[in-house]
Amino acid sequence: MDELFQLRIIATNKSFYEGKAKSLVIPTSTGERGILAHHAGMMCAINMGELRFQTDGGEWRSILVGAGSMSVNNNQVLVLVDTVETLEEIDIERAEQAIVRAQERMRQKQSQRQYMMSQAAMARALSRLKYKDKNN
Amino acid sequence: MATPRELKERIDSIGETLKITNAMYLISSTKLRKARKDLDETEPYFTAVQQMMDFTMKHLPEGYTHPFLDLREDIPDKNTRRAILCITADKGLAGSYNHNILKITEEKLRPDSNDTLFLMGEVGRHYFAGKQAHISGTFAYTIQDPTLSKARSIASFLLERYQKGQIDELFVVFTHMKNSLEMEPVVKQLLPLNHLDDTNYFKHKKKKDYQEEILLNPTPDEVIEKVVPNYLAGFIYGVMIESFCAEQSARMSAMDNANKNGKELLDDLKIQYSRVRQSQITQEITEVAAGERGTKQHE
Repeated sequence: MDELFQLRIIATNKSFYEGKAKSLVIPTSTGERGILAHHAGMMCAINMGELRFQTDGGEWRSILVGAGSMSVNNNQVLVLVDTVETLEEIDIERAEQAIVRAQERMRQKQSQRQYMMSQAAMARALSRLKYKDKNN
Repeated sequence: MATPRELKERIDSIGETLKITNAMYLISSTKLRKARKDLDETEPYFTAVQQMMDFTMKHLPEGYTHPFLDLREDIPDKNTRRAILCITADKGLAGSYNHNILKITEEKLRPDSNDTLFLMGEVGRHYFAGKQAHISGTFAYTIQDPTLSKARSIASFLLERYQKGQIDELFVVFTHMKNSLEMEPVVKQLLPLNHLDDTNYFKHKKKKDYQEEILLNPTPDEVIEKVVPNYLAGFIYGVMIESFCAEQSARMSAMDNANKNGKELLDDLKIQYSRVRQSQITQEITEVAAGERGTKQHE
């Protein structure tokens, strides 16, 4: 029997998952990172990208998460992210429009902060498209 | 005693006011339903994000420093540039909702110093426009329809100023919903981080009240730099949602009270009006009867 750990995935607008899990793979700035039961205490930043986890039933689920953070403590994993989207929820048209909008904004003279924000918006839209593309 | 015409006019005007308060009651109750749904959905994140920050701060390595944690103690207290993010409503007529926030903000605002106000909501803007306070003019966000992207934008706006050294500490004044009926105005310090929740985390650390070793991956710097902007955005989002919900709730109960009072007033006035009218009619009849009797006696 596989060992389990307690997993909570919370986005700003909903609590997405709360329950036991066998395995978890998160996107970080240094690549993907896998978590199994009894992982050592850890805390790390999550980049926007695909997050996969295996529920206690053995089924793999895949979602697109926004930036956030994860903590592992006493076999309890807390994933805290901006957004959680499933494959069906991603709107390609919207993402494409967002890219155009961001490009438009980046062409204009902007302060550094505005530029960074446009860039972040573009990165979000791009990762949505990438995720959709990969899983279709 | 007032004339029947005067009374009639008052009754009509109160009736008009009641129409408005009743409409506002209906509007705010629909808005409240949506706001409460949003609040319920954000609540888990809002509490978790504070726990997460707490956790991170507790497990930072010994002697770790970062600009976000810097208390800037080299700047004397009276010279610190304090920033206050103050969240009020766009409109009045919400009972003591706005008043409470403004009162607390004024307490936090030190006179003759370098404090800057970042105001959300028209009521706050009007209130402080007449006062001698420094208001950030470029900060123009509304409180209507709180969204995550707005919160992100606000967080980066404030963080940029903090990093540039234009502000040294950041407070937020908002309304916390204790439960669906009770609310209270709250002040929280967001930056620098080790003042979170009025507890100094570095004091915590020196006491060594934690046992397990927690790895900050890949480096503490990277974690702090990635997580803090997110934390701020998440916190501000939660604050916006909560305040908006509190506003609608406050307005709804204020309008409910106004409706009740208006109806009571109307009832009183209607009775008074009937009495006055009745006595006028009685008097007229008496006069006519008396007049008739007089002419009869002459015959």
